[in-house]
Amino acid sequence: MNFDLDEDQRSLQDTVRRLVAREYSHEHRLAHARSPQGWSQQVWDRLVELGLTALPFEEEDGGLGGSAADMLIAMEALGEAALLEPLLSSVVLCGGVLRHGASEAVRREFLPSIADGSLRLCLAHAEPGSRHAPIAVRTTAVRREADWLLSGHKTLALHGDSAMGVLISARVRGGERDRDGIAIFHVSPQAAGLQRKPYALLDGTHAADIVVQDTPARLVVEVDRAADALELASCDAITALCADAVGTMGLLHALTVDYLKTRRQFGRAIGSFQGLQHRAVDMLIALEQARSMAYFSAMASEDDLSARLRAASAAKIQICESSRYLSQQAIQLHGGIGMTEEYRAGHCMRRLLVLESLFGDREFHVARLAAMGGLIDP
Amino acid sequence: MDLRFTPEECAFREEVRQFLHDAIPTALREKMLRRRHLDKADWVSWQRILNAKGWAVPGWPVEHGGTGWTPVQRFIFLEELQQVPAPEPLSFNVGMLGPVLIAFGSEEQKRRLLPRIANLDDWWCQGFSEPGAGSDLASMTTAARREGDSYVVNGQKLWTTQAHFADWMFCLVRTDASVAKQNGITMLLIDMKSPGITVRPIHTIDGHHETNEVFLDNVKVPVGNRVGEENQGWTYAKYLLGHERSGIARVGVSKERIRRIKALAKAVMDDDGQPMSANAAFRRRLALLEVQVKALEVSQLRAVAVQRRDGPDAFASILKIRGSELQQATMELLMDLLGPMSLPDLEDAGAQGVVPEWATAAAPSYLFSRTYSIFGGSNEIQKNILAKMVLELS
Repeated sequence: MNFDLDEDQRSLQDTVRRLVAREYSHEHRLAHARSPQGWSQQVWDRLVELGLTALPFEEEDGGLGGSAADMLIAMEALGEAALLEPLLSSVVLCGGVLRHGASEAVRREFLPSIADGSLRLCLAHAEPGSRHAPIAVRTTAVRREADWLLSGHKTLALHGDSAMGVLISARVRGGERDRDGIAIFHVSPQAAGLQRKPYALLDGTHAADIVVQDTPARLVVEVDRAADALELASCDAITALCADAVGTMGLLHALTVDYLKTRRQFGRAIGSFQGLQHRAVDMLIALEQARSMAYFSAMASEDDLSARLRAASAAKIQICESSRYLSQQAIQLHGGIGMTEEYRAGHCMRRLLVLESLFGDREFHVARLAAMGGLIDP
Repeated sequence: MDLRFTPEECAFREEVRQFLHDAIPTALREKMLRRRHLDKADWVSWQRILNAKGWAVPGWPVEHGGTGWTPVQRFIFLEELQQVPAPEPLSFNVGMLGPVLIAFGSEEQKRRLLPRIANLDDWWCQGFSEPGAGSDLASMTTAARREGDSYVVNGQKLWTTQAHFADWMFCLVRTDASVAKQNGITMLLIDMKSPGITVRPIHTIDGHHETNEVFLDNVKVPVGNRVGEENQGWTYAKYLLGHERSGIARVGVSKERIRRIKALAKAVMDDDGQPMSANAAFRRRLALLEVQVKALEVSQLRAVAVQRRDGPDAFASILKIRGSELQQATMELLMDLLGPMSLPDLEDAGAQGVVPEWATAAAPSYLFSRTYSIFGGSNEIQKNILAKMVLELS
């Protein structure tokens, strides 16, 4: 056990921080968000150059074979940017589903192009009304000769508007909530019967509803592996998202502490008041507990599915708690300026709201962790 | 960064666990499990078992009997100790005075006292707080005036934990009232059998006697019992309070209690006659607490498993705050789990047998746990330190 960064990790952290500082200022980000696809190709190319899209993949899949710690370091450093590019959706999520569930042939076909950034996929799994249920699939897959035909409605597919391919979960047999009977299919956005309804989320990230009607599709993860693959990929996504959120929370805390030092009322810096100092300290504690749990989620990344799910739930619970607290206190301590659209704190808060909800909110994860017997074995 | 325990660390944990479980007397472990108060003899015998194994003073330098373990190994040792559960090496001796003497004591003091400290031949208590000096410790007024080869000490110490067990006291006294308050303090080693010392018990809200008032009336202390230099006592006191961080969060204590809660929840019924272990609201509350304990555990590991440290050390205060809050929260949950079974008063002989014996310590332990956020620098003082040293707010 050792929390010191080695030389490569320090250099990874420095490089990502430099990228964020130079090319991802608040103004840059707003401009990316306003562009038609909602993110910057130029920044994406830089992420590719730095190897971030290849980091989680094994070398034989065209990746760099990075460790969980490497990914954590990169994502936390990117968290200050509140990145709009499809790193989480294509690399972590779709890459994860294929890594965990696809045959070697399918992996060889897709992963190298995901790793080199030339292929961007989105995952269409959630359905309207499924809330946070990890498995709630009504979309059907019916076999017709060599093809499968999919019909159904998917929602909140991250970067679903600009993705070059869609991974869709669909049911071959069984009822909506059955773990058994779902498989994952690859569909071209141009396929017959596919419609996309794009929209922006609260933080500017683009997403889409995707409706398919007898749309031809190719099976990429078999029925016996799909549910596990989706859950393992969600654990990967939660681990990355937690580190990402910690980066954003760190920025929010720094903005707040700076403000306390510069804002003067009653003839003195408001940071001299003990009531506000203690609030800023409570924010620091919430931030550090969140960081510890992001680490914990990463520590479990080689464990079995049950341990990973418990660790992911535990991490997400802490992230949600800390994120709500830091967001609300940051706005409160800034006062009126914190409420303005122009100021950065509100954008951090909107970003964190999205991260709190993705892959299960606090209530979902508390219920799941409780049902799984908690973290400490009796 | 490597987020896994090494195979060597895992093997070390096994070795420690095996030894502790074999070595602890059954009666002592039972007392610990049931949260009964330990007698002086319990502490002494356990400390000597550890000392015979060479594990009584792990954090000390090897030449003074330390084990040479890494900070991660010391963390593992304490965590395993707390989860047996077994008493930790007596903090006043091992965590406080020992390191101060090693850093600032004379060669004669080290040679004479350190082996006795490690073996608990002498029980030490801490004479710091006073009626007018709690969080503002440097305002203490207990005074020592020099008379020949002795100091003569007059004053009163307060909240002196286990002074009634103690053979000796390391004590802060004022030797110069004319300078800034931090610059006129000296640390003396005082024999509790000296004429002029009166120890008066304080019973706390849990009904127990653990802490005391100590009155010092013309107590003569040889100059040779001064630690380091005259008027440098504040430096030594700060060193003492900031020395040991491996176990500051006492994560193992909270984990052991959660295990206990989980075991008892199977036997305690909810209002519908079902086991509490199946009650959804209880399970959620427990799960949330487990998350907080895990966050503290990883935070504690982050504090010890680093070679380089950038900037001021935020972690000691954060660990103290969260560690105390979670020890309190786990105690509170245990009491709430038991519900009305926690009501019969342990101190009343008539209450014997009314509820299972294991239920009776929950409420007193909860009541006593309120002290965790007060002693050792209250949590509000810790927040002042964090605001000033880490956030640089002033």
